[in-house]
Amino acid sequence: MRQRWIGVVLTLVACVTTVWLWINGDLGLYVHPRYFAFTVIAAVCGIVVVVASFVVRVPADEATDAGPTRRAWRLGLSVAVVVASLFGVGSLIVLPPATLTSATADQRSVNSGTVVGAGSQQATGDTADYGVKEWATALRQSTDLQGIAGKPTTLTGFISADPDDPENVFFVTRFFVTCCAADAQPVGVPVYQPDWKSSLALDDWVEVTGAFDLNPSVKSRQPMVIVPQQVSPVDEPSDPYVY
Amino acid sequence: MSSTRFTLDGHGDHTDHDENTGHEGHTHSASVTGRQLLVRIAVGVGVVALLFAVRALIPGLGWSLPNRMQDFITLSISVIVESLPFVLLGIVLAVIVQVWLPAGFFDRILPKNPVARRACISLIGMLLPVCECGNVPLARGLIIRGFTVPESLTFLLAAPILNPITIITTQQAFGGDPIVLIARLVGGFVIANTIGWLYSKHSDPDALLTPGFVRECAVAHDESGPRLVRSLAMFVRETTGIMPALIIGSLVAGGIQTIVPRDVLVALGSNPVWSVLALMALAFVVSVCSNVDAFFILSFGGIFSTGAIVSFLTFGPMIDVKMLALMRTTFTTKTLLQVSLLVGLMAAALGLAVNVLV
Repeated sequence: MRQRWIGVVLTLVACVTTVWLWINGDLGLYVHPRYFAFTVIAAVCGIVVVVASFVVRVPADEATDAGPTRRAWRLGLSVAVVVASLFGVGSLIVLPPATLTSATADQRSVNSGTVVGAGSQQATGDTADYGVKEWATALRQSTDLQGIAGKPTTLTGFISADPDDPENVFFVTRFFVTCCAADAQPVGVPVYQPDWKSSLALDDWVEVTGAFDLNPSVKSRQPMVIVPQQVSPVDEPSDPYVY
Repeated sequence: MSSTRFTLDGHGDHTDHDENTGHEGHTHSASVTGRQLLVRIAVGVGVVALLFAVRALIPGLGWSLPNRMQDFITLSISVIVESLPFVLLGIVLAVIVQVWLPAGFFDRILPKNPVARRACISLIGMLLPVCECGNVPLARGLIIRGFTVPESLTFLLAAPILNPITIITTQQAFGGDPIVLIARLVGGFVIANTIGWLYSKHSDPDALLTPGFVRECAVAHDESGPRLVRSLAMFVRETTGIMPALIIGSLVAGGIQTIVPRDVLVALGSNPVWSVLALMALAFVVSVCSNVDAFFILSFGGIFSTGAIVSFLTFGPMIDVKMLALMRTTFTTKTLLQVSLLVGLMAAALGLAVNVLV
């Protein structure tokens, strides 16, 4: 029952989507930039081979020698496989590209991993060019929290709520990606703004300007927070993840 | 899995035969067959253009999904896009092994003794650095080329770990902790060869394979015709076997990741026993490629025990959600359950041993 065309169609759709994402600069929503060249070259070669394979005529299957029940079962299985594949492919070709949202940030717990990557961050030196990842690591690793107090910063990220005090504390959040979005880990810097939900919403991209201080919230488990001078909405950046 | 029969020359109609020959020779472009060839190529190019057009026009609709649904799709797509080049590379290597390598090539260079032979086979990954999803089509190609089932299992389990890219990335990530790299390499080698040895005792190795794949092998042996045409035919056949499995495996991996909260695993933390099992569960779910998993798990390095990381790095490349979906194209469910259980036990034992020793 299974038609031979399903494989080439799936390959073609996946390859076309990959190339299209790359052309539009959206490939970074799914894979780490270091794989761009490899991924795109493979996709282009895939398209070429699929088109070339159109010249080979590959007919559909004849009935197998299995009994009627087994054949019905196999038929059902084949249909299920084709439907699931088409769903997967449909989402590839139909849905607009998107970043991960705060749902995944909550589900994976912001700052649950220790992001090492750039070595240890002690936040004693120059912190002017620290981003969300660097500050999240510094807050986690630093033994001298008083040394961080008063440091000014400006950070851009999307909003996810602090699970311990969702009314008053939110995270300026980014996803840290090592390979592809599947391994993205949320990193975030807590911001103390009582009743932030009155002016902001989950998943909003914001630029927060302020300075670090001890956390006034009693419920939150975050020792240090940014006490913001300004929280202004911004557009989602073209490279929403950090590496 | 697939039961379709590919027919070429002898089975196909006469037009096809002429067309294929014309394609191979590139000399009869003025003839009728040449024109048909052009038409087919034009249809192919047209389909590609159509897909690009659809993809380019649709975002204007501005749909928006609930967060969880959106993330499920984003995660699944990222697994597909990340795996696709490796799968294609694996299929191309499988085609090369099956169609272009001379018959008996492996018999000439590999030792005769079964144990030594499997040991060498587990090192083939050093020459063909494809990560685990690409290894499935390659392992299929190797079986068709005459490898026994236990030998191809050994290759399938060892190659994602014993390959230069994985070694380099593991070294980069855990350079300060050489036990991780050593335990990963030795563990991968030992586990793969143990599985191979166990299944070499099996009375009927072909029973480990799905009936569909056994038929594919029979068809592949009967093939004749120009090599280029056979290569393209095999590409079509392999993508039909592998691509639905890749997409379904990615959907399942994305779905589990959307549903199971990550902090359940992280909470198990540094307990020497639970952390091993927790990271194996994480490896199973995340389905991240073996070439980069060291970087991924490095970011959890402060939380989990060394043994847990070693278990993650040996179990993950061999068994995970995406791999099971891909391997199901070739091996029966029963075989996969056995192999998963055995690999899981050995990887856990390895991790616990490291925790005891370090």
